[in-house]
Amino acid sequence: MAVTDAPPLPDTAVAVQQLNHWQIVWRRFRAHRLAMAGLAVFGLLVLLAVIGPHVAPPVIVPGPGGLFPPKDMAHADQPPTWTWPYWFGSGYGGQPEATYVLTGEGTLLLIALGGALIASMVGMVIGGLAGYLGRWVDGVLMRLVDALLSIPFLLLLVLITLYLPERSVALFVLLFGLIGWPGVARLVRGYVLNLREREYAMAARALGVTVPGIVWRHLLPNALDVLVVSFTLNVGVFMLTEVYAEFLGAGVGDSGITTGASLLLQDQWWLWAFTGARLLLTITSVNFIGDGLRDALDAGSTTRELAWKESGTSSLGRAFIAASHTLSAGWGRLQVIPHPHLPAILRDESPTERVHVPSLPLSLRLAPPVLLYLLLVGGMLYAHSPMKYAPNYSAPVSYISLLAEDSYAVEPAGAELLFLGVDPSQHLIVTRMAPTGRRLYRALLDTGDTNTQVSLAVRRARALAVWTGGDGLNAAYLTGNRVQRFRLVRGGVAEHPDAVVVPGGFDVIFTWQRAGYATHDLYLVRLRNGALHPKLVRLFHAEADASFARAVTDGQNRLDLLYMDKNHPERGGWEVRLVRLTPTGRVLTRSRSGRPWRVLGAVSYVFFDAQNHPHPYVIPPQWALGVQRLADGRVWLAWVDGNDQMEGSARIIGGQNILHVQLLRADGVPAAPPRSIDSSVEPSGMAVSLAPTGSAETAYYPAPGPIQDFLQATTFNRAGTVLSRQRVAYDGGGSASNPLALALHGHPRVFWQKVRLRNARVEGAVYHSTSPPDLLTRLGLNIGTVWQNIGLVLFGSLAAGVLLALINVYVLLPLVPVWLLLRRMQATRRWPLFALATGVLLALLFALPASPPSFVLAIGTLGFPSAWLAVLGAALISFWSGRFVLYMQERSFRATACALIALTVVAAMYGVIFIEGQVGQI
Amino acid sequence: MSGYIVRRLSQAVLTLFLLSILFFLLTRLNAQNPCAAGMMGCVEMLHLNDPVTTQYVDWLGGLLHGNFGYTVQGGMAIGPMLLIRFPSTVMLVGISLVLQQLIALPLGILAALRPYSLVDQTLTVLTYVALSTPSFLLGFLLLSVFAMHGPKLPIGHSDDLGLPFLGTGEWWVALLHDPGFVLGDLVRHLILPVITLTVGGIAIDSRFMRAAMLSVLHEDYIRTARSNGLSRARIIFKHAFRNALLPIITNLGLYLPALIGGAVVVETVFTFGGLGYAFETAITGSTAFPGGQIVGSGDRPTLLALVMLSALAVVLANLLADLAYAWLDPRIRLDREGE
Repeated sequence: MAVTDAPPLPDTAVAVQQLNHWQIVWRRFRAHRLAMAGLAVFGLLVLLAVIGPHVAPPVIVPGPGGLFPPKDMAHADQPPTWTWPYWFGSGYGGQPEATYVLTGEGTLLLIALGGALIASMVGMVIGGLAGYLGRWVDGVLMRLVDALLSIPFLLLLVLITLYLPERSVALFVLLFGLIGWPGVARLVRGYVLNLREREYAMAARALGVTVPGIVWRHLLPNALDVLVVSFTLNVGVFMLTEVYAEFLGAGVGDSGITTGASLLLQDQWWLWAFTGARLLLTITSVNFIGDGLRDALDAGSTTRELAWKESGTSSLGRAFIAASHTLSAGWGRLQVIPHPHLPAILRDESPTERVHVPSLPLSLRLAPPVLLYLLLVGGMLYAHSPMKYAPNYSAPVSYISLLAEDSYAVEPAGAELLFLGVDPSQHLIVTRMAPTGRRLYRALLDTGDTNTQVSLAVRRARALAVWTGGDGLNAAYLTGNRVQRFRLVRGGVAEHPDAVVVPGGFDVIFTWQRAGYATHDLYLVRLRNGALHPKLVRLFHAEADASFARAVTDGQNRLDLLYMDKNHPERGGWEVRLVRLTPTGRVLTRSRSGRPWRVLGAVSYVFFDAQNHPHPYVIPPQWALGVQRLADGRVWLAWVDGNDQMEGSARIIGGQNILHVQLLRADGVPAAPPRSIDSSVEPSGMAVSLAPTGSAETAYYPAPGPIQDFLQATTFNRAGTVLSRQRVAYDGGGSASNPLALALHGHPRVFWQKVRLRNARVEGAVYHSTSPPDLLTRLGLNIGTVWQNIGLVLFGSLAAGVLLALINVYVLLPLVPVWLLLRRMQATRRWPLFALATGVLLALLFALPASPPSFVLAIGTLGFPSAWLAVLGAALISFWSGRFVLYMQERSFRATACALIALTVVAAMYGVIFIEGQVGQI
Repeated sequence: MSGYIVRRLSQAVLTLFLLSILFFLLTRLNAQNPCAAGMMGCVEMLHLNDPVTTQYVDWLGGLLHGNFGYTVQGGMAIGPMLLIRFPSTVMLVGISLVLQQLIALPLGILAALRPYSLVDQTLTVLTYVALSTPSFLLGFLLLSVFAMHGPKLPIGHSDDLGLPFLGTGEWWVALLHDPGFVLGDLVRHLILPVITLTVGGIAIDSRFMRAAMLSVLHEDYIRTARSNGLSRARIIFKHAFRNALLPIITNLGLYLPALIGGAVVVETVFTFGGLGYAFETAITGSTAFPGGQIVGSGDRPTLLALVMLSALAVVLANLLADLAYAWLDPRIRLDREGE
């Protein structure tokens, strides 16, 4: 692939001038005009890298309070001018862009050149070893290379750099070298494979030169051309990768003075154009130099063919392929396909010895591993079954008052639950509890009010408790076992707080009748930075005595607010409305396309008196207002209304109560009319929860109380069709009230408060949408649908087998050198020593808490007796899987059938899951 | 063939498991404690005290259950979150892939027919420049020219505010409701990212085609065809082009990972709502805990899921390409079986 064809050298010139190899290469290179131009530009850029940092204006550091010096601020955000140092314009705070244009080059060059150098050295050693030694060394190393080549370079780099303790240039050089070597290794291996069959290697072997000697003295010098080519290719690729890493925020960029980091601003062109031009020049010049070198070195040698083989195309093709991940696909080092037009020796082949296995009946070979796989997988599934958690929940909270309003709140905090309750002495009780009911922590806070309403929001072990009481709205911020208390608003009447987790902190929605005002307005308090900086926002005028809101976040700082509003001009009833808030707390009343955000009519709870006049009725807020956001942005709503009759001034109890469930699209528009379910029971208390994930969305609707002695739960699918109704009788005695429904770990759960004479308890029940426990469930193996169970057991067994085979390799890898040392010994002495070494290794593995992946350790986490079964299984499987692998090599067609069956099962499994999801969505 | 398939399959599974271990360990690298001092129960809750192996088995168990975990921020399920973004990326990458083939293949043939001519050399130089351009640079340029100062193309996002995610049921409803608006909106948002992606792709694929074509043109059967007196066009299109297409087709297969990996950089530049953008957000986002301190960086569960999916796509693509190759070209599988 030459831009300008290298002029053929006259034969006589070689004879006369006695040019050596590198002189010829240099001559050819000089004839390559673009390469020479690239070299010149590259020289200038190296000069820039050396001089630049000394010339560049310093980075402006803001003073206390984040203020930039006034003299710099005067130049902020200006396009390029002719006055130094603003030749290249300036950015935020008056920072001259010249700083970034002049200083980033060194980092780029160092990382790319240094990384490519290390990669070449590592690749040379490993590829040389693999190519020369062949056999199992080759097999192991090439599988390693395969695995590393499967990972997109940029992706792996980003993954590593994100978690580095520090990002220094030296570390990056090392990193690039250690990630980038597999390509080189593959190239060198192919070359050595080719060379070792040649006469001079054979001659050296015949003369008794050792293996390293042959590789070092004979093979590698000959492979130098290949190395140079791969080096130049790598430099270009590394540069692009480094620049992309910088751009994605995973480069050395913490210092602020590297290439990509300064390009992130796009609205001021000078902030990216000059630095970008420098990058472009650098990478282009390197690529031209590389092309020139390749052409100069090629000269009909096998390099071109090897490179062709390496990429499936020409030597340049590999560069394109290697660069393609970063360019067109964003990432992706595409793996190499051996080209069929090459002789076999050049392909990725190495002679292997066939293993003779004495034949056994198929059933004998297959049965033990299969049975043991199933056993093992059963154990693993047992350990991961969600049914492990207690389905019923009962835990003493505290002395919840019989006198107070019995306010309490429950929130899942990871594996724990937080409870808030109010005790007779008007103390807020914060209780942290394990799922087993064990109390971990308790705190008492003085609320100072009998009419306390509490709300709780939990985010990653931090919780915000909000309650009304005293003189306004109070909040407690809980971090672990520390409670920080403060007041959100003072004075007036604040009611119906609802705390919600949003990115970066908590939001609290509440109604507030300020002193001297007649109306209750809806307010939002925004707590950021550890709840230390509350910001009060009045959302809108809500006019209502008891309008209250439930809020849900979409994970991107927006809030959806579901609230009750009395202002319905025609019907005079209550209206359930949804409002979307911007990140700043502004109410979005309409979208850009003119569609209203405010949705949802549904007059709620209108009574008709004897004259058939409608009367609004105040719904107790804890009854039923549920809102839940799905992962795709859609919103589930649930609310209850009724059409009770009035006789005179008395309300007839026991009329219709209707639960409505509605799905809204991501933009707030109802996807379908609400589904309504007649609840038939008088809800003395009601709660709604919708599972955020899973194929079936579930609304819970329990109605315990003095009239009914049961809880009723109604399950819907996504379409709003009732799937099942469950009635759960709660244990008699005392009275149950205040049900709370939560989506806990994706499963809706219901908690209710049961007050007896002697003590108060919060009890809970967990409902699954599945039918009553079947055999699998009782065995603790049920993980979902039948197909999932079947698929997982089969797929899991396959997985466990491969995992075991892997672990055999990796855990026992340190034993390989031991074995090599002991190889020449007599068997009687060799085996005890080897067993000793194995024992030491295993002991080490057990002793280290964070040792390499060892299945033995993982087993330790399983419970008895599955742990012991698993140990037994692992031992037997290790033996049998080895036999099985050998068997597979011998008679591959049956293994093909097994693999195909396994694959089909897996595909069918996911197909079923997918179809279920699709059907559920309709 | 069956032996070859078994070998490749077992290699692929092995590779994936190796990678899952590697990735998992990587995300546990430099594992700072995300729990602030005094947060009792936090460590136990996040299972930070468990051995790495136990955490790995937990994670892998979840993965086999189809559970990719939950995002650090907002606690959303990662699987559905990624699934909903998938169609956008497929649309972006798919369109640019088709476009780039339509442009690159003729260019490659043109260059191969007259190697080292003026056309070829110009194309070569342009190719090098295009290859050396970081795609975000081109993206910025396009944005600057066509979105900020020139015709008002959208500066980002995959759709207008208020439209549902591409490919979801709601989106189809919206499409049926107002096809002109929805499609027009989609096209307006696709123009710049597609151009950015395509330019790099054309550079690669045209060289690829050129190399493949050149090598075929030097084959004996071309000379035979020519000596038989076939017309030039017939030789080029009937004999050379069809044979040169073989590596091109496998090359196309290798673009499959791009569907998962997404065009990270391009999607970031245009804040396109696909998987690549999800990756970028996972890298940069969700580092601040409510205490205000920055702990670690990146949304590890999301990153892990994306990386695993990407590796799966790469392995799968390679597998498919190899199998397709072996199927198309018996020499390979015969060789391998004869080992």
